[in-house]
Formats: sequence, structure tokens, C-alpha cells
Amino acid sequence: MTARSGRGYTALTESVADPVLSAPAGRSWWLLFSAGLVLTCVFFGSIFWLFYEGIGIFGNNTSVVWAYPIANYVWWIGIGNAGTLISCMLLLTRQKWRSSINRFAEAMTLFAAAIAGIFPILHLGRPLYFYWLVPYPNTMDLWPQWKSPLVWDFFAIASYLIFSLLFWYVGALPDFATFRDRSRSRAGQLIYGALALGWRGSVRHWAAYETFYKTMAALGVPLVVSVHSVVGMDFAAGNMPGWQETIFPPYFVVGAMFSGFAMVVVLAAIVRRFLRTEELVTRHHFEAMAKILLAGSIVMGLSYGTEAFQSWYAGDDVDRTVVAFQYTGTYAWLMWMQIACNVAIPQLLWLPAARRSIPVLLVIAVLINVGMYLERILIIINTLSRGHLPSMWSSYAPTLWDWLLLAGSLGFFLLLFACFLRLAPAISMHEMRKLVFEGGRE
Amino acid sequence: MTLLLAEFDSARSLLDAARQTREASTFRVIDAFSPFAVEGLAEEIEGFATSPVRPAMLAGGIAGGAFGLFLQWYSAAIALPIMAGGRPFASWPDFFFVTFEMMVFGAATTGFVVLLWSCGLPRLHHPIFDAPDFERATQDRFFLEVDAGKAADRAAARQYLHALGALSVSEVET
Repeated sequence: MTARSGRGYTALTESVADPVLSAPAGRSWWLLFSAGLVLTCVFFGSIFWLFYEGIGIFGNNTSVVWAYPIANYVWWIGIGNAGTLISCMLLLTRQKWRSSINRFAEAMTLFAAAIAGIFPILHLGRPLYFYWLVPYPNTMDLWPQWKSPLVWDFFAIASYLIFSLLFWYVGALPDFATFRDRSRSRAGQLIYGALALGWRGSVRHWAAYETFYKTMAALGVPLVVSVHSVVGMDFAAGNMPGWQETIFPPYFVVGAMFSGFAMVVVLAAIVRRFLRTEELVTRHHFEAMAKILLAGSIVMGLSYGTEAFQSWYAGDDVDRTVVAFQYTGTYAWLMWMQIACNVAIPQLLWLPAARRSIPVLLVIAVLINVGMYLERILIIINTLSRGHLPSMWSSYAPTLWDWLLLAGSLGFFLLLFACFLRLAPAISMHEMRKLVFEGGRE
Repeated sequence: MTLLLAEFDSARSLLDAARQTREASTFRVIDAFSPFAVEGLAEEIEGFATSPVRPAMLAGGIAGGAFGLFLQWYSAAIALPIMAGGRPFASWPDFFFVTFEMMVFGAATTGFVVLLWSCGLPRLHHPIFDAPDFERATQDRFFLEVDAGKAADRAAARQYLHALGALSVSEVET
């Protein structure tokens, strides 16, 4: 959290801006970028094939009508929720260590939410009609069905994407101005100059900025909660066993924060490695995030327990069948893996040594993301494989295209994030300067 | 109008200089420029007015939410009523989410527009960018903009600002 001692603002500006503006990218960055680029081609190639051939290329069947595309959507929007939530909540609770991680956490939100928004369109039988969700006067005299959570979803994601973009961009505005003023190339000066909109750092600018930014943070927390609650409602508002549960909205919100924080840990390790900003993203930050992951894993364990207990206690046969199927049926091994990844293994973080070791934390964070993906897909396929009618019982297996789309979306995210690292201020310089000032290290 | 721009190397000296100039001299503190938001600086600036961002966001939020609610009520109860499970056409609990999202959307976009408007942005070039060293105002230097009046007084103001710890003082035409 400290800038190199003695040189305060100058050192801080140099350590964030110079790797982007003057240092060459380096071999590891090119590796990251190329891997992302290859998988991005896979992603768009698969989308092309999907549009050409139709949704028959997926493993979905007449019982399991939702699968990977919806799980991808829920998983990505979960990760996408965390960046803004983390940034807003930590700002409102005056957690100063936030300044090191909020910028790239918000970028993560933007990219993940944008990718998430693609998947509901991909899972449609006739994706070209997705815009029918938009309420606009049309010659068919049709309007959206406002009682459908899918329409709520459309509004939630659209508002959330625009909100997150504004929040991220305004937060980065003063840093784009720093880039404009530090850039030595004409192209850099022009591009960052346009992005900075002529920011001068005047007292009036800062006052308006701070008012806007804090108000946005206060709006951001309920917005994020509403967005992932709506995702939970996509399931809970249906009448399928294992979905129709009042616990779903908060359970989804906690799951989103949990997986998102795990992703922030992974990205923080990448940012630290590529920008060589070990003194800005410190072990202290990793330890703070580890504690939040630990708290999240406990809440997740409690949620899994509550879900199972409620099904048993309510005494409904269909519900009990689904729960028994979850823990002993076809996909039980995945369920146990999910519990190991999300609840059991993170308990290692009780040990201070594990919280302080970045490799250990990184492994746990990746496992949590795997576990959260398993949770998303299992919520869908367990219920749909054991619905109300035993004659409809079925089982599900993904196809090659399911896997390629998932891997491709990860690659697209990687590509966007790699570009972000090389083109934008990945750490909030102006907020870090404030910490230098408040810490009396001018 | 010719103004003086004094450069300082820390937020603390900028704050002290601004306070001193306002309290103990006849020169007017017009504006200050810093690479981060310095708390307490706004009180030293002459004619500083709180920006209308927050009330604008409130109004934008109310308007967005009201529009969302109206849109749903109009389309579900007037334009295309569909009987679904015997529920009322205008069932407000179902309208809650879209109303809320539209409210946040309205507040955020209004706030952004008013933020830019109250900062006078976008304005890609400004005469002050020509001042020597001003590119460091977004990095590690702090600037105080002072109106000293006539040319004769400006010489005195220069000395005064140097005495307050200014590294350099330059003139800007605005």
C-alpha cells in the first residue's frame, strides 16, 4: 500500500504509468495475449457455427432444456457482479486498501458482464429476435411480458452494464489525464487526451467528481444486489423442484460475490506480475481478500445446508427426490467436488500462513471458480433431470461445442483483460496519491 | 484576463498557501489544480459553489423510475393486457425490478451528464495547458491560480507566492 519511500507521487505515477506507456510488453504478456486471441477465435467461430447450425449442436435435450449457455451466463454475471460490488462496498465502508484493486476489479466487471450478456442470446432458438425483449412501439402491437423474470433480466443487465461502464470510466478519467500528460507518443497523447475529455484536476472538477463517484457507489450496492437477485429469480420464479426457493436471490448474490472475489485474487496476481507493482498490490491485500473468501465459503456452506434441510423439512416428495439425486445420483461426484472446492478447501484460509502465501491463495481461488461453475451447472441439470414427471427424467452430457464456447469465453475475457493491462491505468493512481498524502509520505 | 499560476510540490503547501492568500492578502484565489482530490481545498476558493450533481441524480432517478413504472403499467394494462394465471394486469410487485433498474439507470446517466456539464467538459484544450510544467498537475505537482489584478500588483503577488513556498510562478491568459 505504500509507494516507494521518499519519492511519493512521482514514484507512484511512474510505477503505474510507465509499464503501459514506455516499457515493452514482454514475453509473458504476449503469451497471455496470444492465448486469449486463439481462444477468442474459437469463441467467435463457435458462435458462427451455432448461428449457422442451430442450438442442436448443444448437449441440451427435451428434459434438460437449459444447460451450459445458461450456466455460463450465471457464472459470468456472478463474476461481473463482484467488481462493482467490491468497489462500491469498500468505498462506502472506507476500506483504504480498495484503491489498489478497484480499477481492475471494475474492468473485470465490465468484461465479464458483457460476455455474460451474450449467452442468453446464444441459447435462444431464434437469436435474431432477441430484441423483442425491448419495449418499443411496433407494428405487431406486442409488448414484453412484465411478469417474466427474463424481461427483468434484460433490464437488469442493460442498466448494470451502462452503470458499470460509467462508474469505471469516471473513476479512470483523472488517470487518463495522467496518461495524456505523460505519454511521449503523439498517438498516445491524442487517444488518452480524447479519453480524458480535457480533465484539468481543478478543485471544481474534483468536487463534482467526488459527489458523483460516492453517489454512484451508494447506488451500486443495491443495483448489484438486484441484478443477481433477478438471476436467482430466473430460477425461483419457476415452479421446478430445487428452484422454487425463497433463498435463491440472496444465495445467488453471495455466490456472485464469492466467485467474483476469487476472480479478483487471480487477476490481482496477474496484475502484480505484469505491471511489477508488488509495492501497490501487497500481501496485505491478498490477506484481506482471503478473509472475505473464507467468510464467503462459510455462507455458501450454510446455504447448501439450508437448501437440503428445507427440502427435507418441507416434506415434499419431489423436492426430496431432487435433493437425494443431487447428493447420490448421476452427477453426485460433481456435487461433492463442488462442496470440496467451495466449502471444504477454503477452510485452509483459517491458517494465517495460507492467507499470506500467494501460490496457495491462487490455487484456492481457481478452485473456488471451478466450484462455482459446478454450482451453476448443477443447479440447472439436477433439477431438469429430475422434474415433476418421472417419465421425463433424463440425464445430460455436454458436447464439444458446449466446451468450446465456455473455453472461448474465457479466452475472450483473457484477451480483453490483457488489452486493458497494456492500454489503461490498471491501478487508480489518483486514489493512491491520496493515500500517500494521508499517510504523511509526501 | 491575466492570472498567476504558482506551482507547489506538495498538497500540504498548496493548502497552506491557498489559506494564507485568502486570509492575509488582497489577492483572490481563483482555482487550484491537484493530481488528487485534496480535502479542504474547496473552502479556500473564491466563489466556489457545490456542484448540482447530487440533486440532478435524485431528479434523474425519480424520472427514470416513474418512466419505467408508467411504461409497464401502460403496456401491461392498456396496450396489451394478457391474462396470466388470473393475476391483475397492473400487478405492482412484478413491476418492482424494472422500475428499480430504470431508476438507477436514470440517476447514473443524468449524474454523468451533469458532472461533465458542471466541469465544463469535454473541452480538450484549455489555455492553462500552455503554462510551464502544467502537465505535472495530473502527476505530482500542485497549482494555485491567483488573480492579483493590475500588472504592478502582479509583481508583488509573485513575491508573495514565492515567499509561501511556490517553486515557480507563471502567468496564464484566460
